[in-house]
Parts: sequence; structure tokens; C-alpha cells
Amino acid sequence: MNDLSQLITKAKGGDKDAFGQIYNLFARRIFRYCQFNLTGQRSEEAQDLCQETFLKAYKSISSFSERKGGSFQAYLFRIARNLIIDSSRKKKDIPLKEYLSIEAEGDLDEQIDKKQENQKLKEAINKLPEIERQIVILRYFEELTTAEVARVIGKREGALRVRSHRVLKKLKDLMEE
Amino acid sequence: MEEKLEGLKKEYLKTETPDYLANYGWLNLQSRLPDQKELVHLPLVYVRRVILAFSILLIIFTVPLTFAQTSKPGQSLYPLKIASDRVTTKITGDYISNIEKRAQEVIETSDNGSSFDEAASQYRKATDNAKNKANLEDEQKKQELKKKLEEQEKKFQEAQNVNQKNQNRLEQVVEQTRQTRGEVKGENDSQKGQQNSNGEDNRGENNNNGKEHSNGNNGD
Repeated sequence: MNDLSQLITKAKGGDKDAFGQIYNLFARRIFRYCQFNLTGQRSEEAQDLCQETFLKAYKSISSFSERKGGSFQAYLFRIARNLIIDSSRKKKDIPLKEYLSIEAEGDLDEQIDKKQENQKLKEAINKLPEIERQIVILRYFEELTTAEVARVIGKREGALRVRSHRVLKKLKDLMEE
Repeated sequence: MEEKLEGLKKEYLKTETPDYLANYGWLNLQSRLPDQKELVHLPLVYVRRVILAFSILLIIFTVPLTFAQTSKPGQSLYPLKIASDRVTTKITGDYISNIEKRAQEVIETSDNGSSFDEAASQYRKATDNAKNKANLEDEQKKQELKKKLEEQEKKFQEAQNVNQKNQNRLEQVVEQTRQTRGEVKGENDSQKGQQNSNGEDNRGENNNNGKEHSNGNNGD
């Protein structure tokens, strides 16, 4: 049993400190996932969703089972994704705004080019259907396994693999438009 | 494409956690966490299994029962219909409706020997049950049952008149209905019982009346 498993077992028994350690392990990742998905919205929104994700995770932690191949990070991302979907339904048609705020490092022209390219890619990702967007974020940015991504979005692993290849091609087409 | 994604990934990973979340996020959340004792622990897997098992049982029982409702005496699902009606009658206490159903089956099967025997047998059971139940209840219930049996008797006689071939079969049922009606105790039974101290009971009295009635009918 690894450290995370022990923390989960303790948290299931009502140990809030153990859950606090789990929170510290994942809060940053869940926040940035929410933030990326909520482009155009205030950071407070992503913070609220992040907190809500952990609150829900704690309340239903007894339903999480590692024995059946459950991945805790997939469990957390799944809760976060559902909350993001609910939140997006309530706030439709929010315009995209400049989201990149990286500090200028090195050559300024190069930085601007990169920034523009990233912006274009970000816009292309936002044009993808929700499931395909999650495949990009979770598979390529968060580096979840195919099985974990399948769990988060509720699809079969085989179907997800096929779709992953298609997503890249689709992104390429969108970038070339 | 993957190279471009790699570039955006770097940006993504650089997303800064706001100070409030980094410093007070857990403190804020901790105060909102309920005690585990307050939470009901019912694993989702078990809930799903129970729902699935319940649904299967529901299908197993309701599908044949639905088909059984249209079955006739002599058909394979008929015993199921009888069993289901018996349960319904026990629950609702409505023995009279049950008599009506069985009586209707008797009339409908009067052309068919074997089906008729089964229908008549079930009708007898239904009337016996109703009689036993009514004898334990108040006068109003007894009168209701007597009235219903009287109505059924008339219906059987009408059916006899419509189809002369089935006269003999239906005559047995008419006779049995009359006999059961006589066995339902009425408020005057105690007085009659005293009058019939020579041992002759109401049943006999009613039977005699019935025979007279029946004979009159045949004469028509």
C-alpha cells in the first residue's frame, strides 16, 4: 500500500488531516485544470470549483475503490469536470479573453511569437467538442493514462485511443484554418 | 502538432495557484468538511446491484402476471391469475369482485367441458371464501354477499336461457350458488334456529326454496 492509498484509507475513516495531505498533493493540479477549462472567467471561479471538487470528493470518498482499478486522480478530475460542465451550462457565451500572462523571458520577439502560437492553439482547443478538449488537457497536459482519461470522461479505453489520434488531426486542421 | 502542444503544456504547467488558495485553501475547506459520521456510507456498487436485482425481479413477476390477467380457465397461465387474484382479494378484502370475475368465467366457458369444470371449481372456492369471510363480519357484509349471489344466480339463469345446450352445466352452478347463499348467516338465523329445533337448518330451507325456483325456471 503506497502513501496515497494510506491517506485515502484514513480519509475514508474520517481523518481530515489525511484528507488535507491529499488536498495539498492535488489542489494545484485541479485548480489549473479548472482555470484552463474556464478561460474567460475570473480566477475566483476556478478557485471555487477547485474547493468544491475537494468537498465533493471528501463527501463521496467511501464510494472510491482502488481495488477495482480506481485511480484517485481520475476520481478527482472526474468530479472537477462535472462541476465545470455544470458551471459552463449556467454561464454560456462567455467571450475568450487574453489569458496568457507569462513573464517575458529571453528574446521578446520569440516570446511574442510563442505567445501568439499558444493563443491560437488554445483557441483551437476551445473549438473542440468538450470530450475531445478533455482528452487534450488530461492526456497531454496532465499526463493521465488512457485508462484514467477514459474513467474521467466515461468512455471505453479502446474508443478513447482512436479518438485521441483523431483529435490531433482535428487540432492541426483547426490551426491551419 | 505534438511540438505545439508541448509548448502550450509548458504554459499550462506554469499556471500559478492564487495566493489565497495556496495559503488558506485547506483551512477554508477544512471548516466546510462534514464529519464522516454525518455521511451515509452506502457504496454505489451495492446500490446499483440492489436496483438491478429489484428490476429483474419486477420484470420476472410483472410480465407473466400481465399476460396471466387475460388468460382463461384451462390455459397455462390461469393458475397464476387465480393466485394473483387471491392475493389481491386478501389485501383489499373485496371478495365480491372476485366472485364476479369467477362467475363471468363460468358463463364464458360453459361451452367447453374441461375449462368449465376448472372455472366452476374456482367459482366454488371464491364463493366459499366470501361466505366464510362474511360470516365473521357484520350484517351489512352478509347482506351484500347474499345480494351478490342472488345477482349471479340470475345471470347464470339468463345464460341458461340463451344457450339451452349448457343448461345442465350451469344448473350445477346455480344450485351451488343458492346453497352458498343459504349458508350465509343472517340476523334472523338465531330465531330460525330456534324455530327449526327439530334439526332442519337454513341451508335445507333455502335449498328447498331454490329447487322450487329452479323448477319454475325450467318450466319456462
